[in-house]
Amino acid sequence: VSPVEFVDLEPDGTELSVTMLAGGTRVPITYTSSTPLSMERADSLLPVGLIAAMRTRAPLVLPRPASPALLARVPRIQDVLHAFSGGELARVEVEAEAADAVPAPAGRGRGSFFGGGVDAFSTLLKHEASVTHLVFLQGFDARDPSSPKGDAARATVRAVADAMGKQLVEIETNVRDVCRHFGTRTTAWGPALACCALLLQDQFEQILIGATDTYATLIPWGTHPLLDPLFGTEALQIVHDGCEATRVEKLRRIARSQVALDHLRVCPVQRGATNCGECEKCMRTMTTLRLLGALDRSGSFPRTVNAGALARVRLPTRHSELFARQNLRLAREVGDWPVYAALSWTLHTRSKVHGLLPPRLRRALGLASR
Amino acid sequence: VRPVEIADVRPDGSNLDATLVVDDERIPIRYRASVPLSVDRADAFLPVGLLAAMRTGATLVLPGPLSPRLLEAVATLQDIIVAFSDGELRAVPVDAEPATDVPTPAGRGIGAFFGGGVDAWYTALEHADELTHLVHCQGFDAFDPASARGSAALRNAEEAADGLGTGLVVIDTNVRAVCARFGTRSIAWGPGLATVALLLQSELERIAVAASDYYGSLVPWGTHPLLDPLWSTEAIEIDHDGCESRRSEKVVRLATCELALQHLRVCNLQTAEWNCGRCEKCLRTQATLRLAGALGRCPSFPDTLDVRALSRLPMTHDPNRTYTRENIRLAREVGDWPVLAALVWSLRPRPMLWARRRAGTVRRALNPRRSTRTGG
Repeated sequence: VSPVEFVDLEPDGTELSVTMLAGGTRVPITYTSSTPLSMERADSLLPVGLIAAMRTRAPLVLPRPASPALLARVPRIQDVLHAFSGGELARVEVEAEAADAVPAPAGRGRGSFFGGGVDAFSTLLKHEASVTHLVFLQGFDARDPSSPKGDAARATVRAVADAMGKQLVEIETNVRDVCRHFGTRTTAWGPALACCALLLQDQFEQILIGATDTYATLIPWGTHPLLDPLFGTEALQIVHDGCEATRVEKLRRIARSQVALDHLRVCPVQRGATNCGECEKCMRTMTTLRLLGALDRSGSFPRTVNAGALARVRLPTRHSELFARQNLRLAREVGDWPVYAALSWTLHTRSKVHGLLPPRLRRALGLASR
Repeated sequence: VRPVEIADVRPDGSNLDATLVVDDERIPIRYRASVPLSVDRADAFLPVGLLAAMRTGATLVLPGPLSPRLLEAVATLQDIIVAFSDGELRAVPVDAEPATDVPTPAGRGIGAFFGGGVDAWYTALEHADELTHLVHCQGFDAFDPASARGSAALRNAEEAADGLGTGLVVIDTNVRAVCARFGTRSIAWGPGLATVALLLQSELERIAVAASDYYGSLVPWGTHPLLDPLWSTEAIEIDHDGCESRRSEKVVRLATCELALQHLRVCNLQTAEWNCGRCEKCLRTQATLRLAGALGRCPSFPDTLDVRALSRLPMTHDPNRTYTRENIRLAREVGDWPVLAALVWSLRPRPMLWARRRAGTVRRALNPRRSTRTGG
C-alpha cells in the first residue's frame, strides 16, 4: 500500500494549502485564517494524516519534523482511535523526525473553540476571565461557509466576541470534511479540531474544546477527555473542558447570561440560518430553557415549547436519549408535569414499543440509538 | 459537620498505622509491607480521606503537606468522583499545604499491581522487560488475608514474580475495606490502590494499574484511565495500563504463556480458594480460554467447559454483556458453534429477572440500608 503523504505544501502567512495523497487519490486541504498560521513543523498535518493512514492501512509519512511530545503519544492516539472506531481504523506506522526544539514563548493567549453552541458557550462563560481569543471554524457546523447558515454563524460569533471583549480568530477550512471522509462518525470532529489548534501554536499556549459528555456518560467520540489532550505539544496544551457539568448545568450557566441567551445556536439543520425550533436538538434545548425559566428571555429560539410536539420528537442517538433523561429529571424537580409526561412517553413508552421492532428496521426508520 | 482528619500517624519502617477520624468515629487504617513505606508527605492519606470527606460532606484536613501536582489535581479528581458516583459523593474543601520539595531519587523501580487475574497478567507480560516489581495487596482480592484464599493468592503472586524474574512487594492492608465503606460500588478499589501506590514512592518511579475496560467500552469505575493518572505525584507516575486490548484479546495473549496459564486466578467468590469454575467470571474466562485453545493447559480451571451452564448465565448488564459480545466475536472467528450458541443464548431478554431486580430496587429505596457490594 502506498504511504499517506503530503505534497505541494504551500504555507503563506494566513493561508495554507497542501495536498494529501491517500488511497490513490489526491485530497486538497485548505485553510484561510484571520491570523498567521504555524507551519514550522508538521504537527497540524498529523491528525488528518493519521486518520487517512489508519483508514487506508498505509504508513503515514510527514514532510517535516514534528513535536517530540506529540510523536511520543502517537501509539496511544492510535489505540484510542482504533477502539473508538470499532476497529474500522487500524494501527499504522508513522514516519516522522522529532523536531530539535519546540519554542514555547511566554505571553501567548488562551483560546476557546467557539461555534455558539451550548458546550462552547458554557466553556467560554466558565473561563470568561482568562480566555483571550475565540476561535471560529467555518466548515464545521455550517458545511458551506457561503450559505446563509455560514453567514449567520459568522455574524453571531463576531457579535459574541464583540460583546464579551474577546479577540476573534476565524479559520475557513475543509479539514472537517477530509477527516469525516476517512474517519468514522465517532472519530472525525476531534482530530479536525486538533489540526486547527496545532496551526495556532504561535498564538496560544492553551486552547479549550467544550465537552459534549459528562465524566459519567462518556462514549467513544471524536472529542473526548482521553483523546484531545494527546494532540497537544510542548508549545500548546489542548484541554477538553466541561466534563464536570451536565447539559442542564451548562444551560443553567448560560441562562444567567443575556449575551448567551441572545446568541445561542444549536441547530444542526443545514438549510436554515437560525435555530429551526423543531428538530430534536432545538427542542431539547428549548425544553431545558423552559424548565429553567429562561426560554422567554431567549433571543434565538421560539418563546414557547409545545409538550405535544415534544412527545413526538424522535431520539435517534444515545446523546439525545441521555439529554432527554436529564430534562426528565429536571422536569420532575421543577414540577413541570406537561414536559415530564411528554418526555416520559418518549423515553419509556414509545421507545419500548419501538424496541419490539427488529434492530435493522429500527435503524432504517431512524428510531434506534446509534 | 466536623472535618475528616487523619490522626495518630505512626510510621515504623515498613509498617504504618493511622486513624481516620470521621465525625466521632475513629477508624484504624493499617499497612504491613515487605518494603519501607513513604510517609514524608500526606499523599497516601488523600485518596481514602477524600472518599470519607466526600461521603460525609466534610472538609478534609491532612496531617502534612501534599505533593503540589497531586494537590492541583484534587479539583478534577473530585469532579470525576462526583460524576462516577452519580452525585452520591459531593465535592468538599481539602485543607493541605503544597510540599516545598518532592524528592525523585534515581534508580527506583517500575512496578505493577498484581492479583493474578487476566488484566494483571496481561500488563505483567506486556511490560515484562521493564518491570522490576510486582505489588501484591492483601485485603483486596481476598478480603481476609489469613484465609485459605488469601494464602493461595500470596503463594500465587510469589510464584509469578519468581517466574517473571521480578521482585515482589507484599502489602497487607485494610484500606480497601475503608474505601469501600465510604465510597460507592463503582468507586472504592481505585482510590484504595492509589493509597498503596503513594506509599511506594521511595521504591518505585512508576506503577501500572491494570485496566478492566477497553477504550471503546469504558464505564464509570474506580480504576479508570482518566482517574488513576491524576493520583500521580512528581515522584511516582500511576499508569492505567491495557485499555488498548479487549478482555478476550488479553486472554488470547495469556494463552501464549505457560506461566500465566499455570497461575491464573479470576474468581471473585470469597469462599473459593482458587477458581470456583461455576461463577460468571470463571465461566466466561473458561469460554475465552477454550476459544484460544488453551483451556486444557490451564490447571486452575476444569479441562472442559460446561456449555449448558454458560448459556444459563444471566448476562443482563454491562460490562458482562460487553465481555460476552467479545467472546461471541472470537467464537465466530474460530468457528466454535456450541460456545457461540451458548453465548448468544445467554444474552436473551430476561423479563422476569428484570422485574425481580426492579422490585429489589424499590425495596432498597424503601429500606435504604447501605449495600455491602464493592468494586471499582
